[in-house]
Amino acid sequence: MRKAWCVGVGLGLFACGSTVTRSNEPTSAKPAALPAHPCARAHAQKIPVPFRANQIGGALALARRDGSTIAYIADEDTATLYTVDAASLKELAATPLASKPSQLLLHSDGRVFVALAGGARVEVLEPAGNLAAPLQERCSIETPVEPVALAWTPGEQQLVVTSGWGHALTTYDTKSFERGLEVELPRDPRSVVVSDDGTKAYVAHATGSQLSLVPLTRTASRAASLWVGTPGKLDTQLDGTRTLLKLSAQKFASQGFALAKHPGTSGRVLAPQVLVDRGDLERPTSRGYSDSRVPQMASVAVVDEDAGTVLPSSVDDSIDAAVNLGWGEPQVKECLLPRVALVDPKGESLFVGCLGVDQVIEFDAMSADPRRAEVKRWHVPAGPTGLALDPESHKLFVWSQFDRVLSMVETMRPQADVDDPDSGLVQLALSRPAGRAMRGDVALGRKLFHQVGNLEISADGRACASCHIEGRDDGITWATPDGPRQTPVLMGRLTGTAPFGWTGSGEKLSDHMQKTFARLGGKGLEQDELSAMLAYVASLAPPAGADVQRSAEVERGFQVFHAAETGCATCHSGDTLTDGQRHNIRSAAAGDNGKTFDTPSLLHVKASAPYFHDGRFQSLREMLDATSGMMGETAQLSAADKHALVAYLETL
Amino acid sequence: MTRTTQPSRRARSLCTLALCTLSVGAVGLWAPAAVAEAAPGRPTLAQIPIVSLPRQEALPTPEKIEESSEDLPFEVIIPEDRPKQDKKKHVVNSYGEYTHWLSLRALKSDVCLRYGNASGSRPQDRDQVELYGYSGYSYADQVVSVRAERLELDPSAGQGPALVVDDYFVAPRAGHARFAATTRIPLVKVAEVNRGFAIYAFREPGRLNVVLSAPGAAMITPNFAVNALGCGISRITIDTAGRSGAATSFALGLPEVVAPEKVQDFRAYGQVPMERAIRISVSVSQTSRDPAPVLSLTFGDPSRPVRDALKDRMPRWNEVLGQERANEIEQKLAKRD
Repeated sequence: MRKAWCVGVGLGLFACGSTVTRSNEPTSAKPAALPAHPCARAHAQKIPVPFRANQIGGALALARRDGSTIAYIADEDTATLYTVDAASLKELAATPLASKPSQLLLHSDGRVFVALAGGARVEVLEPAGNLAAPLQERCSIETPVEPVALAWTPGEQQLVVTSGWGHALTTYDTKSFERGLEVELPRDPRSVVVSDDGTKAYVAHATGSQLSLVPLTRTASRAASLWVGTPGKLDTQLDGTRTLLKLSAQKFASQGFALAKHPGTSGRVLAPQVLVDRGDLERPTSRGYSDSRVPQMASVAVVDEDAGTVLPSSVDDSIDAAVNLGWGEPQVKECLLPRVALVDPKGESLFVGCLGVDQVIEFDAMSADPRRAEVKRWHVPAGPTGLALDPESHKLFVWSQFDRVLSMVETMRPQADVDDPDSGLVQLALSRPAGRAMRGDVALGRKLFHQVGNLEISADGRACASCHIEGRDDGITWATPDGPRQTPVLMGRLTGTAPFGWTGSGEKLSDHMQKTFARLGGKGLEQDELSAMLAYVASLAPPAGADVQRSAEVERGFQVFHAAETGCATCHSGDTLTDGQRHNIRSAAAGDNGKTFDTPSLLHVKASAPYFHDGRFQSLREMLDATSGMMGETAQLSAADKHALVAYLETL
Repeated sequence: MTRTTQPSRRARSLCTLALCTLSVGAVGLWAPAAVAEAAPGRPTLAQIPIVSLPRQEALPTPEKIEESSEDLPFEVIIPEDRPKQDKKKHVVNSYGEYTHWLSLRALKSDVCLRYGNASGSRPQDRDQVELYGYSGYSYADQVVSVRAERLELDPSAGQGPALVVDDYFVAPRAGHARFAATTRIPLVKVAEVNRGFAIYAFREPGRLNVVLSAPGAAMITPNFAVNALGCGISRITIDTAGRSGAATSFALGLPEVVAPEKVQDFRAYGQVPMERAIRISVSVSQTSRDPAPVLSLTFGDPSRPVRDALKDRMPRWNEVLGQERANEIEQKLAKRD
């Protein structure tokens, strides 16, 4: 169990030593009975409750009271929870949150659980009887850093939380709110769903081509990894006089943000994602990143919930003849940035919200390969990250984060033209609380960063966010004209780290970005757009709570790092942990056209595995073991010192 | 088929297509709901009986055919530039000479010809097949089998819909053809849209065959061939053996229905206008909880490049109406002009 930090909120009770913090007592209503727990409901007034037991969290949720439908929206830009009358699309209340929310999840008694990705905790809120009043905070539950997704186990016995930066799944008893499990996960976990029998959870990962399968029945359990890329094929290749068996044509899965669970008896978990062809790493490309005709392909992996296996048909990478005829047209309309998914209560339709194309696409939820089974699509305001369906009216509500608009589409309404599919859209732009708005240039930069099919950025339609997922990286090494290159992290690494690029070829960030667009076959951005993009990437910061207290081991690692004998700090120096120089550390790989590389910054190095320009090392420890004499001297270090050095690096 | 159930949610989604609009109130659209009357939910493969369709290659091929049968469903056309038999020794290189031996053209517009060894460049689902071979080698002397497929949908037969497969042997050099065998494959209707566009299915061991009836349509096949469906039907096979899922997709351009009196306003050699393009996905999948493989058919709108490609390959009026009627129209137009 990780250390639980004590966090006080407002005037709330300070529950040090537990994971729960009590907040303000309600003032608007007299409690009907003494609450059994600080997180429990405090008043007996009639408040909206979900249509049916919600199992999975999201940025948007619907509830009902006295025949009226209420939408709750977690707005990450303004750190606000909005209450909206869904029928009239009228904003009722805005509840300020302590930090950026990621998902909310409704309890069947009407309480609203909000994961604060910017605050390493989940807040429990209770609506007032008067829906025009802000929600009242009941308590907050500490979680590992950057809680990104929520789910209930059956019967709402346990709250399940995944934490992106914290690489963890945690569970909390919904009566005592004591932490149950804490399971370490691979990097970038996102959405979570729980099996019907409550014995396991599936977790999507934005990187790493995998789903995690976490048993929920035992303490201290480990996650199993489920490959969701294409299966590799063994090809026979001649190497001089030898015949080699080589794994090839394997495509990685990426952008695994969303999960949806089939509600019926078929036991399917649906995982929208993207299949990535990174190219042949031993052969430099003529231009671009990967020389594949279709380097990124939309996909929906179908998981057999009981068996814990992926249906092979759903990760088939053959080009769909009914989509692009195999001519490799720019993917101007493909869902290359899926962010949210929802299956209707009858289990017939899968709705996926796609950034970049700003569309919601309806697929057949029972298809063996849902990406081939598209039914309809709707244009929506920019940044669809939340979906909720009114099962009675068949109205689909869409929260578009980038435009901060709630829209409603009639899913049963016939569409006249697939190229103009937004007819009938009803919208509400939310109010902007003073002092909480995003800067205009940053907002524009975010849209540009996520735009799919912008031919100024790339000829094949991919977006900046296709590789730099959320401004971080995709953990993938690409074939490029210069050789194999791992996607670098942008978040928090752009200020004071010039020159840019693995070989340090870009003295100015703006020049380096335009060079990257040109390499991707893009025409380049106009100056104002480029400035906006720069403003956006400069605004990216690691989540709050990422700072870790220095333990004795970390302190020892600090000393090892800065010791003259190891020499780490010789090159990784200064505040940004780089000397801005190029070095030949004998790291050139097959396919590299140069031998010197820029010293990368080590800021947030924990979040950027694998390591080296060609991603050859999967972990920091593996890298330290293999590079002594090439990059510092670590061979003489004891196992404990190496462990301490890794512990220190992970705090950077 | 009697429909007593309400159209499912999926069926209603089909109504995004303009061609659905006429049929909603009448017979409904979605035959899976009809198929599923006995067992609510999606149709499963278990509801589609397994039949045995003899493989063309398995037919006992005669060494030669002395004369042609009567009542062939196709005419045998010998190309004018074909090498004469007495010049068969003429070989231009060590690989022989690639020769167009025969064309077989269906006599009726609803008959599809299939030739198992047809090259990939030639569309298979059409009313004409071309037989090529290498002179100087023995291939031209080999008798080949050609298959004629047609849908039998007449309910008066009392046997339900069927795919009737007639096999013929053809001697390319002699130009003779002989009837070999008939197989009647009962079909299950799995989807229906108005105006003659319907989807049927039958199963073979380890394979699902989807049969489309779409007269006058153009089609993009799963392997990217873009063809006019000359014979109005197409058969697509999915391998379902030993897997927990299989899927394929294709697109159809459906013709505009034109009133007979309006047909005369079109040039006989002009293309039939495309009313609507449909993207169709067919899949079979089974999870641990599914008692049998689930069949899913999905209809959507294709992208603009796909629509444009289909539009370009819509059949011409003379192909749809027949040459005789086309000539009539042209003559009338000529007089009018």
